[in-house]
Amino acid sequence: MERTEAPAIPHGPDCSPETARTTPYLMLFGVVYVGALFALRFVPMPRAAQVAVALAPVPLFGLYLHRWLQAVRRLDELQRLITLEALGIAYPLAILLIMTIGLLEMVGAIRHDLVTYLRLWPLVFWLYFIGLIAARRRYR
Amino acid sequence: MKNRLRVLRAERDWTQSDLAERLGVSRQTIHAIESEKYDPSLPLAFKMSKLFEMPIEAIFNPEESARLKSDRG
Repeated sequence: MERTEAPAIPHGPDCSPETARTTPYLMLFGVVYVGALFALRFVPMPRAAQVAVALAPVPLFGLYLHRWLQAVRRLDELQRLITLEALGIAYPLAILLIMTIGLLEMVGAIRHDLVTYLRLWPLVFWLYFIGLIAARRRYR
Repeated sequence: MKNRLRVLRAERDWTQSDLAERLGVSRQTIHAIESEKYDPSLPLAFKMSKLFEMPIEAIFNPEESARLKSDRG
């Protein structure tokens, strides 16, 4: 008789052991990003220092991206396909989002103080997870 | 693509995890192949062929799959 086990829980690359190892790097980036936000908003400093603080999260995101790509390369073929499909959904959605905001901006339908890059980028980040959910459903 | 993976695995009393480990893939991949939602790459199909000691066409049956699709039409 076939040994039974719990039904396979379709998981995406975001929660595979390989990519889970990149979480500390993402958290490190998050801490530096929030720190930079806080410093730029509340700590008086000269212009050059402001630019340096604003750019401080960039290398940490680069490090995270490097680790994430390494993790993706270690995924199996289906997990890589799911990652590709997730990005294939997220990228056009990001273009659509930015394009629509640009057009709405042209006609003055958007308040500049409400829609800023600082508020926009986390939304773009989450588009990947929308893509991931859609791609995972396909192979469930 | 139709395949006999689930049957072959059951004959050996392997779980999906056992098979996944032997093939070096995730259990999700085994599940997707068994449910015919994903067709493996040629290298993975050859790995399966080697593991089960039978030709690829004894594991996978593209003709039956194509016939079923055309019947659903």
